[in-house]
Amino acid sequence: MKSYFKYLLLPAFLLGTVACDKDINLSPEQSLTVEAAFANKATAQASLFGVYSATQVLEIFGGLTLILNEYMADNVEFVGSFPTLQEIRNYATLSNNTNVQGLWQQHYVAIMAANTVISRVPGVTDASYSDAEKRQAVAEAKFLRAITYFNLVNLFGQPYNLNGGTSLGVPIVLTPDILDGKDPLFPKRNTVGEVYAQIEKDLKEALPDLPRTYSSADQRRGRATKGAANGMLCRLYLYKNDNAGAIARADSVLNYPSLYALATDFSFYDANSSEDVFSVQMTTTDNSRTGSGGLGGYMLPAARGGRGDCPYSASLLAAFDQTKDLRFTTLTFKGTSALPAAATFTNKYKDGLTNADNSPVQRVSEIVLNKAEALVKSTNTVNADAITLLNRIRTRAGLAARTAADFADSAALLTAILNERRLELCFEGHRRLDLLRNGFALRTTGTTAAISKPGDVRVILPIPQREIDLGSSLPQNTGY
Amino acid sequence: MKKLSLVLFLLVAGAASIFAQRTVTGKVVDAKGEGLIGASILAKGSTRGTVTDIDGAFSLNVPENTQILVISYTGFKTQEVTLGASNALDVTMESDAIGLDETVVIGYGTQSNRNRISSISTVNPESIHNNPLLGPQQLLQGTASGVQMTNTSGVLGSAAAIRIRGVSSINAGGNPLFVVDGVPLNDGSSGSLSNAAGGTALNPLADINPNDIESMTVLKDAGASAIYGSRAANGVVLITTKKGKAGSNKVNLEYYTGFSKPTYTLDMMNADEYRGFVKAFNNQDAPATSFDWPKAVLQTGRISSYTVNMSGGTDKTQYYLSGSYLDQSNYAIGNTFKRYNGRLNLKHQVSNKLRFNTNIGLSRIDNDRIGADNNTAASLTSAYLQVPTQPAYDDAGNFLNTGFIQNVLAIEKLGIFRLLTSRVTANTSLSYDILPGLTAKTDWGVDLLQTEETSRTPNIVTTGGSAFNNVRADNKWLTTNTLNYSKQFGDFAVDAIGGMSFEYSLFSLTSVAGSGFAADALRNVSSAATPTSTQANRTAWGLFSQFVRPTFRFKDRYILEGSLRRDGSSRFGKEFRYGTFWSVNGGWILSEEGFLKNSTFINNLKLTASYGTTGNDRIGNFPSQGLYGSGVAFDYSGLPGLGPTQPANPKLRWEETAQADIGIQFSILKSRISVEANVWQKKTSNLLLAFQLPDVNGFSSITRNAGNMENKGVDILINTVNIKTKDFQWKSTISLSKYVNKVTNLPGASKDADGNPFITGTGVQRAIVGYALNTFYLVRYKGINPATGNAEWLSKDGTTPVTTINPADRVIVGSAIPDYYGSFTNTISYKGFDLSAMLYFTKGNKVFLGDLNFTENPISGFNKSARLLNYWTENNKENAVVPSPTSATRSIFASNSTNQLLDGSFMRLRNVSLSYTLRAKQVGVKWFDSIRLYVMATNLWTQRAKGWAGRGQDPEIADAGNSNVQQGQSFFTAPQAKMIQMGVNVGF
Repeated sequence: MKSYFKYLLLPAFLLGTVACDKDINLSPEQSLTVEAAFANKATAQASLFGVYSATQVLEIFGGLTLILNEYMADNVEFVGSFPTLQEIRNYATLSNNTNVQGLWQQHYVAIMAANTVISRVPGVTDASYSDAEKRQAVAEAKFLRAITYFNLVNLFGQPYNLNGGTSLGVPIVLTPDILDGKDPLFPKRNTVGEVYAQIEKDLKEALPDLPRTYSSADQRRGRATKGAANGMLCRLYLYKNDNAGAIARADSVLNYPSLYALATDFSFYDANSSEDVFSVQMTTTDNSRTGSGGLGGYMLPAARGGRGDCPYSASLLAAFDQTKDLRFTTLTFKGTSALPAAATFTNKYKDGLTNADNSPVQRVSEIVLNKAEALVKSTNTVNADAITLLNRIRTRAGLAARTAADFADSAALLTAILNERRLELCFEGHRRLDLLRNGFALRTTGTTAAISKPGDVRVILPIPQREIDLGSSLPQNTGY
Repeated sequence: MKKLSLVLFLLVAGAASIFAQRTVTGKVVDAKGEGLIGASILAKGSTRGTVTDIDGAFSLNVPENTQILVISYTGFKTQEVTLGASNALDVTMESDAIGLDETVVIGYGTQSNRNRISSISTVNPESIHNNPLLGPQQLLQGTASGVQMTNTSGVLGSAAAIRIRGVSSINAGGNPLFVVDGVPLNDGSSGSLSNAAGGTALNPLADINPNDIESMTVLKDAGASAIYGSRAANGVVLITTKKGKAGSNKVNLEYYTGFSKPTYTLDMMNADEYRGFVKAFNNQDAPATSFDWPKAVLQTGRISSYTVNMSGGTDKTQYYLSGSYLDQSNYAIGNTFKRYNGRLNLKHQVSNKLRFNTNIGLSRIDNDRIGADNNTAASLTSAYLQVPTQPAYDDAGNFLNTGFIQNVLAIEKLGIFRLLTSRVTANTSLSYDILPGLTAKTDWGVDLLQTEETSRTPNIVTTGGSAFNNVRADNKWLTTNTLNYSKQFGDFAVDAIGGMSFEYSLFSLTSVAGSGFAADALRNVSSAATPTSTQANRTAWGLFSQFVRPTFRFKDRYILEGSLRRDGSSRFGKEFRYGTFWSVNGGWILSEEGFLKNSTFINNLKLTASYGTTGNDRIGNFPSQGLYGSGVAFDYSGLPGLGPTQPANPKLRWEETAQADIGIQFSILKSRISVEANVWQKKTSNLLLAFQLPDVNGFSSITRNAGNMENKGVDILINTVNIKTKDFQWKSTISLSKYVNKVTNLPGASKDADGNPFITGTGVQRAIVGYALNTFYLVRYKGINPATGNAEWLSKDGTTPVTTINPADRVIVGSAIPDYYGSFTNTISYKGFDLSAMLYFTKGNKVFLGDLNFTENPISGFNKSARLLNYWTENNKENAVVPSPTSATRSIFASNSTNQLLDGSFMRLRNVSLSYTLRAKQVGVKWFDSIRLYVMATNLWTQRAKGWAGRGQDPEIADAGNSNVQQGQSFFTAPQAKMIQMGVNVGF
């Protein structure tokens, strides 16, 4: 028996020796090559949805941009624990701030994903993929690229109105060079005006190819539409003081009341109602959660699953009529902050655990207030239409309507509109730009008030030090 | 190559023929005439051999033409005895103090130490410590020259950073290749085996019972390691487990127990101090409550270990069987480690020509984990940062929700964070002697590794609670088929091995998560209201290799050896898939020359030199392809999505390290002093670089082959026998290693303000051309200006103090790489007593303590270091170490600068042990062989450099120990443990 044992050796030896090249020719199982990602309609459309997904992250519409805009202004208190956020809050930001670095990086990741769709979708050869569908995909990507740049330029550049957009903005990158196998880019910084022009161009180019609406509620509010593009153009024109443009674009949205109308009460947050013009969709399984949380995670106290980092500031509490204003009585609650100390929190976001709240990028209220503001600014009068618009917002909030007699002059009306805007849109990331673009300081009290005017160093973020270290030839914002 | 080896095999297999035989019998004894059990007898020029039985007797069938028998035994000089006409043979062995004739394990084989010309370190647990080891990696610290082993963290189950002769790579893996009985271990190169972060990366060697290790061999120069080709650039560690020896059955029982405390802890503010401080700095009235968090999480760690092993066998079959259980709890609550091991190693001689050998190692680890270092859920980190005015319980004794810094007492009491590991590492080989001197061997092995990670965050900590369950498997199989040829032609001897191997490894991850639980008692994801994640991933890699290593010896004093390996890996693009690695080494044993042979001063003198190349492939599985990822990271609103994850680089290929080594080995004065010294230089080219890109490109980096790096150094190992009498012996070992690392070229990399190209490692360290890989690049902290109360830093020119931290003022301020490191071990034996102590030291390395960003931030919402109480006031100007409460610099005081950079040099009494051994014959009984009682202390004494007191914990740290570009950094790295262990070992 045992003399035959040795013959076991031969097949074993042979078997081992014939293992060959094909066994080391392996492919990834969770990824496609770039070529395969644009091989047909299904993968190309998936690549488009990937761009939406890229904007869901914490750093873009997942919460950080919004929260930084609030921290740098006067609506919220900083009681958090991250020194990097504390620096930004205190206007002590250093250029190696990791939040700033992450924010910059993720915006350009989304821009690169959009650039790839814009450049590759037209070349997809698939008979079932119609030209109209391809044009729509490109238009959606351009919309996303535009709103991403809008976030960026407003954080890293001084407000357009300070000097007509001649301050340095951010580099405009429109091609996915690295993914195309080309050399890396080391672009220059474009001016705020140039970036605004590119955003306007993208939105305008996208408009004709975008659908009016979609069949499902989440896509109607969460995907690019003509209404969303017009709404963004409305905001852009308002920010650059093109009031006629802002009024026209506001009408382009408000003229579709079956699609876009003020909700009757304040249960519209995260509800995909006609209140939403565009809101980035989040679910319990598909959201911004990247380690340190999202909107609910930052805004809600620990008892509601969040960190309790941004309760109401004393200044915002004082601005509300705390007994009558439904926006306070229905959207506020008391809790324990991260300090820990008793504090008042917003109820606009519900889910501190999984951050499943949709991100309210644009609401009808904003369009209404945009138009009211533009009407006052363009006419320099106590404009009756503007008062009507203002009252639509006030009456919904349970407050008394105003009349022309309440306003001494157009400036008083403008102040009232901006104050209403603060109460309506607090915790939605508007406050910083609303102050800066109108020439106001971000804070009126405290030691930091003196360094919070438009044009001051730390009312905008520094270009990340990594970018400068890597030789991007990006000049740093003055003073950093 | 493949065809050739097949043809060769068939040819020689067919030529096998039968020889006439004779049987030699005899006895092998020591100088006192006592029989030696398990001595090896080999017919020279064949593979025919046996081992002696319990009385030292043997019987061996040898071919008729056999002239010489080679008799060897560990600790004795190998003898060659010429066979006469008689078939009876008695041999007296001479003891060998320096182990010259020991057999050492090398790649794909063994070699006599006498003929070894490559640079390796061999570590044998019994000869060095004779003490309990918690894990195999501990064997490498201080015992092997050229090997730098740093315990990354005091967290149980965490990996050590092991660097052999410096670091050969920047972005590819830096740990050596570990091979257990011929099976290269899975080490997480396809995907991490847990969601560990920071310094607590899991230890790939954690599954091995150190008691089962016969020896560990560290292959250092290219001559030794090139046979492992594309994976050997960081060196190779070969682990050989114990084998049974012919003779009577031996049983060994061991038990030890002990306790541990942290070497150092941080001195944080108590509640009163905290209240006073935040009043002064923030004008805040902290609550009047108080709680001592560090005290609540610290405890005395306990350890117990139980081991039993049996070994023995006949001249045909030998076995080694062992089982062990280790139960350890840490000095901080919530961290325990239980390890169950079993092993069966079996050898059987089927016929004169055919043998099989099987090694089966089984293990199970139950690790109750704490959050990784950089995690506020880690018990000690959390206790330091939690404000001391925050109570843990309400008045009724229920846990309180403590906000962002979670209530770690509640987490540990009510939650789960567990990692269960199951591992089978096994292989079986068949060997057949085709001709005298020619042996074919086929070896089949597996490394099946599965981890199951379960987490449940209690409802009080996150409302409704959350849970996840991750199951990962890294399953490898491999086959190695070799032909071994060994033949003596007069003065000329040839040894050669050639063969092929194929390895295939499949990594998979299945993960689910959910939130929203009705009660803490519901432990698993299936009880969650909301499933938040479901994932299942797989990734595979394969490696096909062919190799050959011929060795030529002339007159047993001139030795020439070469090795060649061709590797094909699935990790690289088609065109660049194959790589060839090689080495040549030569040695001259001068002491065999006539002019030295009879020297009474020099007992051994050998010169060696080697040169060769090795590679590195540890950059994940598909680094060369341009990829679009899928899944939850890319979907949107219920629609499947795809997104760019990796730019393509089809030209990506191996990183290659060329190493030259010159060595000398000598022993003098009757081998009382023996020295091995090597000078070496490693040059790495085509560095696999994560080439950093400006973020505007949409990718932060792209993997490219670019750049060169150089390491050069000296390893010295000195063994001395200082005193040797009949009853008293004093031995010393000095191990000293020095290396200099320099990045020599990074083409295309960004340049710093001084024009030097660099790669960013972390926010505080860089690889800079002309400097070391781990160079700290920081603004220099000057101190508190006594006149103003402002913190001040230095401008770039070093002359002007400034009150801001400007990145343009950063300069090179040292490196994480030590100037030298080593150990000094003394062992004193008197009769049955053994006293052994090892001092370990490292000198000249810098350490960056990231924890200080938090503990010394005067305006953070956390608790602070008590050192901050010494802040600037009108009455405390000169000695203040913290800015005044009104200074604008208080908010950037704790930001990155040299203020957090400390001298990482230290010396510590790594271990000291005392044991007493009682042999049965001393007391005249037979029911046992020997009993050993011991007591051992680990890290009993540590000397840190200046500046650590009140600021840092243990100086032995390596945050993210596996990342080459993040060395010498800490973020609340759990300190090493100070341990006392007592044990007993009984042999039957």
